[in-house]
Amino acid sequence: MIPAAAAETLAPYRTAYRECLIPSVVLPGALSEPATAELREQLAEAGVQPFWVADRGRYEMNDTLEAPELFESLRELAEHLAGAHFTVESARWLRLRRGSYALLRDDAPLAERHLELTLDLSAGSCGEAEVIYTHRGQIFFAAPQQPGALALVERGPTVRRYDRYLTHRVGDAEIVRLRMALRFQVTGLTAAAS
Amino acid sequence: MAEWIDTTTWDLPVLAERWRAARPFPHVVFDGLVAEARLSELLDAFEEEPASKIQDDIFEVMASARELEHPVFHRFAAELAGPAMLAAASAITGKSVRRLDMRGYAYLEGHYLLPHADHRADVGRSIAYACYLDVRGDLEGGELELFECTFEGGVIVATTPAAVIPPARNRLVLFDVSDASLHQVREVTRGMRLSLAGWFYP
Repeated sequence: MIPAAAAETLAPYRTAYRECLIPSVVLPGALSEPATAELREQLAEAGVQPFWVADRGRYEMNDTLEAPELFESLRELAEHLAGAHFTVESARWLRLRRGSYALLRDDAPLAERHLELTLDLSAGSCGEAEVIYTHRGQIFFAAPQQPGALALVERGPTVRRYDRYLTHRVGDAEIVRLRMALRFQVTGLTAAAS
Repeated sequence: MAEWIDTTTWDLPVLAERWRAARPFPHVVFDGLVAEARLSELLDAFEEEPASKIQDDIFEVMASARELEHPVFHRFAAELAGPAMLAAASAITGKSVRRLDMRGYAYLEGHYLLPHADHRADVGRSIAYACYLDVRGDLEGGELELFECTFEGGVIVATTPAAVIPPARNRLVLFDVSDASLHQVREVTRGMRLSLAGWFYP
């Protein structure tokens, strides 16, 4: 449950999310620097697997690291911002460096309408590495790479996503992300009716 | 009479053999495409051709409009699409081609073209080409990299870098267009490379 004080702070983001034609928002500072540092350590300990299929993407990932408290907090936060109920469908940890990318071809979204959540766990900002969302081929939302920021985007069959290529300008920077898919949950009267 | 390209001096059987033997997919590299004295005319036109930055999930590059404006480029494209060049392209590749399109590109520092195949069933591209006009500023990066692909059920499941072709002043590269012709332009980390590129069509 979101405390009242936090709810007041979140009110503008809640409004912004819901007023977008395709609901989307970036919530800066969703996670503190010590918390992101701790998660980066956990990921480093758990390890990542390299992925490189050239026409799809190049990055490192972990699909098995569980962080139940974090996942639950994020699910709750998403529910508060979106005004809907969700279940966690999937969670992927990503690590990107110079030369990393993930193309539209690598995007395999859920078939049904769902919420995609990207939490930036990086130590710093690299000035690149946006996450780009398109609707019918046109960019409608670009989530900046910003430590501790949380991006939420409602996705349907016409919404696609790519992680922009990291050029040599990022140097030794490491971009760490947690990406989750949250499935809309049918509840209450809606469930009874169906 | 050809203004820029004299295909009568080309050893077509040798080029055709190189094309067939090339790995990971058919391609050929030809240096000295244009008479050096005429190359400067193309480079001057490049300076005057309007260009803008274009960006997508797979590229960031300076590009001309899809239709080049400069009359020198119109004449060059007409010669590249003329009977002598088309016959040479057909002799080298074994593919019958009748027309082409052309666009100008300047890859500056930080620019790239990520791995992709040019094949589109509804578009009909047959042979890809790149005329590298010049490289400047102690160019680093910008190589054309070709990939070996492993397919399962018609889908690429693994890729391996297989060949690297550096851009060089006055160099022509032709390569086959198919679902397996995966290639990229590596990020330019210093300098720039200038090219005219496009496809031949049946």
